[in-house]
Amino acid sequence: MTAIAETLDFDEVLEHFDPVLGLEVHVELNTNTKMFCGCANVFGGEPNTHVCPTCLGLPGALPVMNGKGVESAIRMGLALNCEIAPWCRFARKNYFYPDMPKNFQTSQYDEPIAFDGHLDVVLDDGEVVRVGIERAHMEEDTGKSLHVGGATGRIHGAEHSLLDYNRAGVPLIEIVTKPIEGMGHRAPEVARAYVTALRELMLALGVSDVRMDQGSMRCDANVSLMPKGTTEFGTRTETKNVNSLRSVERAVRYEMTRQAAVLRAGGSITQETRHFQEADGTTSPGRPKETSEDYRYFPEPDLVPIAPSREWVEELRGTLPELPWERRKRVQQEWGLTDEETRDLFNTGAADLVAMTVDAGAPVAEARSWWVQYLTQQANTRETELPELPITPAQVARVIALIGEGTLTHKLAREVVQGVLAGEGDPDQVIADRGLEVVSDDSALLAAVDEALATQPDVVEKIRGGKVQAAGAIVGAVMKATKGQADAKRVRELVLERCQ
Amino acid sequence: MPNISRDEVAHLAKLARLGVTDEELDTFAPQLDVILESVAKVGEVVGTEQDVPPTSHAVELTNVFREDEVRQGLTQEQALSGAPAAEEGRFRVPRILGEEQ
Repeated sequence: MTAIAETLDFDEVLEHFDPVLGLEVHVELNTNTKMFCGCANVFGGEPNTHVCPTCLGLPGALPVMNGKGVESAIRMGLALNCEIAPWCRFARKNYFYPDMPKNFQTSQYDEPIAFDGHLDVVLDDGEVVRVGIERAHMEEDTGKSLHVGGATGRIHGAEHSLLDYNRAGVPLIEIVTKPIEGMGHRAPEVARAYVTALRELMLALGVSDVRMDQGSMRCDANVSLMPKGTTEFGTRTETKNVNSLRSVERAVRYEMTRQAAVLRAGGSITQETRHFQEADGTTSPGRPKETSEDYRYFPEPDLVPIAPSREWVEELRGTLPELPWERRKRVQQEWGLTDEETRDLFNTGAADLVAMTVDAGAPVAEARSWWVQYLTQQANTRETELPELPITPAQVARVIALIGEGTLTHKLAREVVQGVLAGEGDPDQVIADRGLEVVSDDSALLAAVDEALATQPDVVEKIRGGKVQAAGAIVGAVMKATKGQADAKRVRELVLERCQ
Repeated sequence: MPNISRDEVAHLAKLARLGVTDEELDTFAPQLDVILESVAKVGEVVGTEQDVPPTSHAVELTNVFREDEVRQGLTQEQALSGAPAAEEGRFRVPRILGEEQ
C-alpha cells in the first residue's frame, strides 16, 4: 500500500522515543467585570452588548485594573505553590488580527505575577506525579470571530469575518508547565490528569467556571519526542484548543504516534501549531512557526505596576480553601476508605454529594454505595454528570433512612429512586403514588404465608424434616403474591415459625 | 551606539504591515538612526541605573485598582456606530490573510 504509515503503534513509539510535554492552560476568571473596564464578564449574550470605549480600543480610553482579577491571580499562584512577584507589570503584545481591536493584547511578558511552582497530580492508579509550573500570568481574552463564506467556518476560503467583542478584555490567566519528562506510556494520561487537577483546583478556589465546553478553560498541548538515550528535546508541535479532558489525552497520544511515524521514516518534525479534530482524534497542520513571533512586547504605559505587599499576599494565602488533594487525604482518613474507594469516590465526582448525603443523616457506607454505584450507573445511562441527576442528597438520605427502618427493601428503594429521577416528587411521594411500601404488617404477611404453605404441603414436610433451605420455595411464592413488596427476611422467619 | 540597518528597518516595516519601497528604506534608515542616537544621549545624561532606574511610567504609583463592579457600557448600536461595516450585530472586517492568532 502506501509508503509511510501516518502513525506508529503506541508501544512502538515508546520503544524508540521518550515524550516531552508542555501544557499551556488558559483559565477565564469569573469576576463580575472585565480586566480593564467595568463591562460585564458573562458568557454569550447578544454580540457587542458588553463593550465600552476601553475594550473596543477607542481613542482616549484608558484601562484600569480589576483588583479582584489580580487577587484571583495571586490566589491561583499560591495554590500552585508559586512565588508571587513582589513587583510586575503588564505589557503590550502587538499583533495584527482583528480579535483585539486595540491591535495589541494586554498581557504579561517577562514579569509574570506568579512563577516557579508545582501541582501534584493523581493518576488513575493512585500514583502521584509532580508537575512543575513555570509561570502563571495575567492577560485578557480576545473577541470572537465568525468567518463567513468559507466552507468550513474556518479562516481559509472565508470572504469576510464578523467580530463580537463581548469576550474581549475578559480576565484570563495562562498557566504554563515546565517540560514534563520521563512519563513514558503514561504521558497522555498525565496530560489529562494535570488538566483535571487544575480544573478541580480552580473550582475549589472559586475563581473560574472552568467550563471547557464554553471555553472558560482551554488547553494547548506541546508535544515532542526525543530518541531514547538522548537528552536533547526534539522539535515540538503545539496542538491548540483541545476542548475536553478526554481530548487532551487523545491529542497527546495522537501527536506522539504521528511524530514517531515521521521520525522513524527519516523525516523531521515541523515546528508548527496544529488543530485537534474532535471527530477522529487526529491533528492537522496549522500555522508554521519557523521563527518565534516578533510581538514587539513593551511595558504597558497606561497601567501602573503591580506590587503586592507581603501582608496582602499572606492575607490572600489565608483565604485559600481546603485544596482538592488535602481534602482527598482528609476524606480518606475520616471515612476509613481504601485508595481504590477514595479514587472511585473522587473520579465519579461523588465526593460532595456523598458528604451532603451524610450531612443529611445517612451512614457513609450507604451514601457512598448509592452515589458511586447505582446513581453513577444512572448518570452514565443518561449520558449526564452525577451532579446533574435530578435527585438531591437529602432525597437519597431519605431513601437510605427508609431502608434502615424496614419500610423499603433495596429493590423497592431503587424503584423509588427511579421515580424521583423521573420527576415524580420526593421519595415519600413516589412511595405513596406507586404504592411501594414494604408489606411489614405480619397479619397480612401471615395470610400469604399460610396460603403458600397450604398449596405446597410437600415443602412443609421437608421443612419439618429439617430441610430448612426448602423454605425458599415458600418465600418465593409469598414474594410473588405480594408483588415483591414484602421483606423477604421477615417472610422467611414467619415460614419457619409456622412450620415448627 | 545605535546604527540601525536597512534590513532592520525593512523587518520593522513588515511587522507593522507597512509597504516600504527600496528608496524609502534608504531614506528611513539614517533618519531612524538620528532619532535613536538622540534618545541614546538621554541615557548618557542619566548616568548609571542606580542614579535613575529605568521606568515605564512617569509617576511612581503602584496597585491602582478598580472595584469589580459592573458599569454601563455602550449599546450594540452605539458600539457599531463608528464601524465602516457591520453585519448581524458584529463588526465586519475584510478577509483575514494568514492564520488565527
